[in-house]
Amino acid sequence: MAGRPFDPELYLRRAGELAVLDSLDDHQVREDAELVQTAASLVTVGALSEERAQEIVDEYTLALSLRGSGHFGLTWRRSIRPPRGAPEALDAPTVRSCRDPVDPSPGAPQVLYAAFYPDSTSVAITVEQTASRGTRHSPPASLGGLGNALTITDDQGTSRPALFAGHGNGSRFTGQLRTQGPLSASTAWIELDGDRTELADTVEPPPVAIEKLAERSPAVDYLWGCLSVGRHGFPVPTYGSHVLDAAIRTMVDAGALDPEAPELDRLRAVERAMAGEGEWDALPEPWASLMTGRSRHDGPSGIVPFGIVTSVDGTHISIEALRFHEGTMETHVVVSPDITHLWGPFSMQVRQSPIRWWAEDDRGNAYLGGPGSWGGGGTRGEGTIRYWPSLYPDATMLHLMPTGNRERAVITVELPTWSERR
Amino acid sequence: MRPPWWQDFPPVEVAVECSGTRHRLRWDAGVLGAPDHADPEGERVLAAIGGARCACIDFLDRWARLADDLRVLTLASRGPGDQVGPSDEYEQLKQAFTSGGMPGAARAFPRRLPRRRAPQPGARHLFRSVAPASTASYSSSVAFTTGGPRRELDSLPGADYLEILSLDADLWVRLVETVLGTWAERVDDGDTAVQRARAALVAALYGRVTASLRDWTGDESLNVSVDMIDPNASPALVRTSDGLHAQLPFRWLSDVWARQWAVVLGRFSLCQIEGTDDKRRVLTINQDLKDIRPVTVSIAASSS
Repeated sequence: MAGRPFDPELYLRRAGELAVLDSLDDHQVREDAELVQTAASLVTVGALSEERAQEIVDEYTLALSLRGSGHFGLTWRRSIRPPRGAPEALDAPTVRSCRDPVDPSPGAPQVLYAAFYPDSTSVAITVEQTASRGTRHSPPASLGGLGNALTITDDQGTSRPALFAGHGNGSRFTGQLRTQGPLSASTAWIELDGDRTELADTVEPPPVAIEKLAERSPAVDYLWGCLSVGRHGFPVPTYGSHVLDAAIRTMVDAGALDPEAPELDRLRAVERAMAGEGEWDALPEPWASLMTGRSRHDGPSGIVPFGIVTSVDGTHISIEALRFHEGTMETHVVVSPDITHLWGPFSMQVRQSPIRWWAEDDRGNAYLGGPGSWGGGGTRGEGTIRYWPSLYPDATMLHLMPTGNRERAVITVELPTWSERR
Repeated sequence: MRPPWWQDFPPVEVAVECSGTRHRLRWDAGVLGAPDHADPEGERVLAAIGGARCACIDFLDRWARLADDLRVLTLASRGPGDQVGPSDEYEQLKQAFTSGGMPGAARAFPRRLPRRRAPQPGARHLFRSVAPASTASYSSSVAFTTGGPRRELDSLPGADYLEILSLDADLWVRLVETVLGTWAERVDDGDTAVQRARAALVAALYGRVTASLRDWTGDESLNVSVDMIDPNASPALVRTSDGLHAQLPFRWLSDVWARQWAVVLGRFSLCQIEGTDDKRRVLTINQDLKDIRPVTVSIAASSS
C-alpha cells in the first residue's frame, strides 16, 4: 500500500483486520480500543465522516463478537437505543439539604438532599447495610428492589412514585430516587414510604462564568481529550499508552499532525505519569498538580447543595450538589444532548464525550472527574462524575470547570467548614 | 479458459423447518436452491399479496441479499486459526425472542464469554465455522412483546448473516466463497462497483494474507503490508525492513485461499496458474523468498 494516497477507510479497515487477527490473543481490549481510537482520530481530522467511521467500527464489532469478544450485547443495545435527540435547555434545580441529618437505622435510606425540577424531583440517598444483606447488583429492599418504586410525598399531600438508580458495593448504596412528576419545591419535608425528612432552606446558586479557551488544532485538542475525557471511568485514563499512540499515529499518517510537534512530548509525558511512570513535577499544569495529589484518598464527608445550570459548547449541564464521602468527591449531573452513552467502557463508540470534568480549588490544586455511573436516552442523560484526588481539607472554594473545546464553565462553590458538617 | 469459481466446491444440503415440515436447501454449482419448492417466484408473489411466507423462500431471499455483500468477508474467518460462530449473546437473545419474552436484556448476556480457541494441529475442517449443535431449524420473523416494543428477529444487528451462520457452518463457508467468487469476477471484468468497494476488498485481502503469512512463518506478530494488484499483474512476495510485503490480486482469495492452498508443501502460494478438472497448478515461493516454482495440486472428486 506504500506510495498510494492515504485512504482513510482502508486505514480504518486495516486496524479492524488487526483487531480481528489479534482477537485470539490477550490483546483484545487493547485492539478494540485502538480500533475506536483510529476511527475517532480520522473523524477528528476530517478524513472520514463520523457516520461512516461508526459503520465500519460496527462491522468489526460484530466480527469480534463472532470470536467471543462479548461485544454483541453492546451492538444490540446501541441498535435499540432511541435516536440521539437535539439538545434541550435544562432547568436549574432547587436543591435543599436535610435540616437535621441523623443516622438512619441500618438498611434504611438516608436522604442527602432533594433536587426539585419543574417536571420531577430527584432525591439523593445513601443506604448503609451489612454486606450480607445486599450485593453490588442488588439494591436493598428499602429502595424498592430492582424495577420497583418507592413513594415520595411532600407537605402539600402530593405523592409520586420514584425509581432508584445508582451504584453500590454491597455495604453501601448511593444514588438518586427520581419521581415522574414534580413535588413542591417549598415543601418543609419529604417522606420516603412514610419516613419523614425535614429539609433545610434553599441556598443561593453559586456564580457561573463562561470562559473562552485558547484556540488549538482539533487534533491536539482530541489528543489531550484522550487523557482527560474520562471515558473509561475512575480513575482516568486506563487505556494505556497504545491508545494515545494509535491516535497520534493515525493523525500523523493522515497528514494532520506533525510527528515532531513539541506538544506530543508533553502529551506522552503526561500519559507516562498517569501510568505511574516518569517524573511529574515537570508536567504542564494542571497535570503536575493533579499528579501531586494522585495518592490522596482521605478527605471530608458532607453535602454542598447548590443547583445550577450552564452550557458548554452547546452541551447543557445541570448540577445538583457536591457530595463528599470518606475521600470521594462527586457530583450528580444532567446533560443534554445525552452524552452519557459515550461514557461506558468498551462502548465501541466513535464519538467522544465532548466534556472534560476539571475542577480546581482556591489553593491551586487540580482535580479531574470521570464518569462513575450513567444512564439516559433521547434528549438527556444523567450520571455521576467522580473527581480525583480527594478534596484538600484546607480548600475553602472549589471551581467546577466542565470544559469543552472552545469554552468552559467555571462554577465557584463555597465550601463549608468541615468540622461543622457531617 | 478459467474454470468457474465454484468448481471444486462440493454441494451442501441442509434441512430447515418450513411450513410445518422439513425441507431442503441445496447449494450446488454456485447457486442456492429450494428443491422442495417448485415455484419460488410464484410463492413470493403470493406472499406479497398476503399469503403465508415460508422459511425456505425467506432464506433464498436472505442469501440473495448477501451474495455480494462484502460485510460477509469482514465477519468470516481469516484462516485456520480463526474460528467464528454466532456469539452466545446472539443465541441467547434469539432464544429470548423466540420464547416470547425478554425478562431483562441484561440477563440475556453472560458477563464474560469464553474465547474461541484456535483448533489443535491436525484438526479437520480448518476453515469451517463453528455452529451450535441444534441449528437445523430456522424460523423467520419471530417477535416478542414483553418488556419493550414488539421486535422482529431481523432487528438484531447482523441477523441476516448470523442466521446463515447459525443454520449450517458449511453453508456459511459457501456464502463466503460466493462473495469471493462474485467479486473476483467483478474485479477481472473491471466492474465500476470495484472502485467504490476498493477499501473493503483490499482489507479482506490484507487480513487473510496477513493471517496466512503469519501462519506460514510462525511469527504471530509479523508485520505485513499488502498491495492489491491488477488481475493480470505479476504477484510477488518480498521482504521489507520490518516484515513482508505481498503484491497479490483479489482473485488470490477465491483461487488460492478459499481452497486452502495458501501454503502448499511448505511454500506460500502466489496465484493459480492454470487448471483442469482434476488438477491445478499454483505458483509458489519458498521461505527465503528466492525460489519461485509451480506446484501441481490434485483435486479429489467431490460427492454430494
